[in-house]
Amino acid sequence: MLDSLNKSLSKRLLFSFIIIGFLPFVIFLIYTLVLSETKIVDKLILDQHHQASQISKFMNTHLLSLDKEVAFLSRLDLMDDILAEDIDKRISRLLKQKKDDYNLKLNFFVINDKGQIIASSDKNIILTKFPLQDKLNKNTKKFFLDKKLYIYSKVFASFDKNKNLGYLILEYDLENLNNYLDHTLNAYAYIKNNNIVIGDKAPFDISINSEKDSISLDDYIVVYQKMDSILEEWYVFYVVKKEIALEFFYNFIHFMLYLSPFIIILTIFVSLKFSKYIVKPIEDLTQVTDEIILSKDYSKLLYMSSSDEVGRLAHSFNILLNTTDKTLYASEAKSSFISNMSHELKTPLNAIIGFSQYLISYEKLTDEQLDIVSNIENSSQYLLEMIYGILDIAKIEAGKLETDIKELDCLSLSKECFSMLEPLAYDKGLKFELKTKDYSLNFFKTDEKIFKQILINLLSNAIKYTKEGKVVLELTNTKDKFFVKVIDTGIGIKKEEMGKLFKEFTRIGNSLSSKQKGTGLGLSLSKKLSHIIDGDIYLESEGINCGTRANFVLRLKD
Amino acid sequence: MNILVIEDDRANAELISKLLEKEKYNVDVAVSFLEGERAIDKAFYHLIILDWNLPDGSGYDLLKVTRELLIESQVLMLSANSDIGYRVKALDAGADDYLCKPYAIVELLARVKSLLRGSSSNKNPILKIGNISINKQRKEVFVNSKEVDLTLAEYDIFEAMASNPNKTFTKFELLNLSNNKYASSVMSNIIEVHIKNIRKKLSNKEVIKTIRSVGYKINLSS
Repeated sequence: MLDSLNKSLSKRLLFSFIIIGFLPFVIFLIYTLVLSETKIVDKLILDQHHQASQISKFMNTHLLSLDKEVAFLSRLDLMDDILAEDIDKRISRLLKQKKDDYNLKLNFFVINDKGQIIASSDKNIILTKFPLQDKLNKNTKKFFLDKKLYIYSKVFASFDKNKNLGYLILEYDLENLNNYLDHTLNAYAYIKNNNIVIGDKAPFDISINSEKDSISLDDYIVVYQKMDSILEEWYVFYVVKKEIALEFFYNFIHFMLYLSPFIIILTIFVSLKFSKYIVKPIEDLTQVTDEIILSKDYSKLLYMSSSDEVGRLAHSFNILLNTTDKTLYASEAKSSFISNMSHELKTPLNAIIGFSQYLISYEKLTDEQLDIVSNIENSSQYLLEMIYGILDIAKIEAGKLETDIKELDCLSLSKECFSMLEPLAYDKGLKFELKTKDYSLNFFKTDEKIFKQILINLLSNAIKYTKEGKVVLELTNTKDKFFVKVIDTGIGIKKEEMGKLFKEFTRIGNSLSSKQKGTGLGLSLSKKLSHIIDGDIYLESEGINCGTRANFVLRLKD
Repeated sequence: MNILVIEDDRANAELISKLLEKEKYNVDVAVSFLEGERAIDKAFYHLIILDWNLPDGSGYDLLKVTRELLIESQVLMLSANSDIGYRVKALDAGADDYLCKPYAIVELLARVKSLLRGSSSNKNPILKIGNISINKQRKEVFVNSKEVDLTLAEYDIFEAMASNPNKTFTKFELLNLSNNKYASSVMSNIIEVHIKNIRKKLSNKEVIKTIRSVGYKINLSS
């Protein structure tokens, strides 16, 4: 997968587009799934608390207004009628009027100092005894009993403010408060004081731990808070079923999940379109360049109508193509010139060498004449050898050196070269060794002529530059490489001169080598030849007089 | 024996004719396609030495003409081109041998002799120099009938020298003979070594004479 991504720009682009297309959607989905639920619950709790406070406030305001009403009524002069046991029913009418005004489940009544109900909005209880007289207390002005709230006020005679005539009492049914509880959210909303509950109670018990709290159960969210003022001993509760509260949220999630296949398809579709749109000109460019490389016709030009980056690339590419075409033409012209030159040089050179040899062989020459003719022959031979070298290099550079790759027994070939040069080494008094113990290849695919030419060059160089000691030819191989090493104990190479050695017509300048023969093409040619058979040559030396190790490496082919 | 040399380079033509005359052959020289064609028409030659590049046509075409005319002369093609393709083409068209320029004159001589021997059937595989005899067929060398073990390179050198006992061989000639394909000036010293070894193996220092600063020659008086 990674590999194919690395190889294809369009796949990388497609991948990037898909990632870019999906990422926001996926992030949003994860955010919604993980964070939104908590946030929604938190918000709900906050809202419920707010609502609870509001309700609590409304209830108290309502009850306080009733409290004031009770206080107000108790201070009316009309209350003097208590003394006359409300003969004219003036108080009762007033209280009835008030009750009707409120239109709630409540009852106003007046008791005298003996606890007897003198007047009441409910005429049925007149002249009965108020059973809770002992609950009337100066300080609190209210008390709760069951689901009833009693608010009362002492009534004093208008003529004597110290004379207590009795009490004005409001008996208030707490069920009235149910009107203040909001049931729209399908929630259980209720107020509670000990066991007294007003409203819809949750189907389970909730233990109260503090004045205000919220509890998130598996299915429910519970919010409660303590009320104040008249209802200070009461708690208001809101219990909301989670699935109802989060219904919208869950619907949204479902919607998103249903939507995701479409988003996936859409993203892939758009990504495909876009990556193709971007890569198309590059693909076109690649196709044309491939064609050019295959046909080797560098005089072709690329046509790109776009003026964007790819268009500019094509333009630059055309400039390069033009340069390449010119360079190739120049290079081919050079190679063809060198090749022709070499051929033309051979004919006269043949006559020079031939005549020199003819003179030496058949004419009676004086010693001096022999010397001269021998010099002519010698120099001509070097010249000829150089021409061969140049011709080979020209062929290689023009890509016209043909190889004949076959399965070869390189051990035999190496032995052959070794034997060829053995007499030369022995004559110089050098030890000449062939090591093959780490060589395990039976056959190796290469070009016989090139392999031998390189090996002979390396060996003869080693012998040439070694005065005493030894020259070792070592063959080794690893799983994928074949090494031919020529190790000598000769004059070695200075580090700084190492690079120069592979340049044409270079010989290292020191006292020993100046006496040596050679065209200065051998090593450079060998390296170029080694490249043709998919190998390389490199030299190693610790420095002057430290010997040299010439490495000829070949890659094993399948 | 009559030999026709068709070679437009006058220096080379003269070299070949001088060389062959020294070896007692009758030599005619033609310097163009046309001259060559006329000469072939006029007389029979045992051997035609034919250069590939002629100013007014190619030696290759002339070879084909010769063969079409059913002229049975031996033909040795010369060319500056060493590509194997040319050699094959020439041999296919009926050439008897093919020699690349530049060639060592001893090689040219050897080829000429070999081609002419083929037509004269006068073959003597045994060469003798004093107490040394050489069996060319089996590539064996004997001293007083006792076989001497020479390496192939040593044998090639010694046989060439023994076959041309009047000729002085330069080191380069011998190098070309012993290791034609991989000859390199770097290896010119190897000839000295080979000569040294041959002398030692034959137990005869005199058989090969050193010609100072030039090369070597068989010493028939050894």
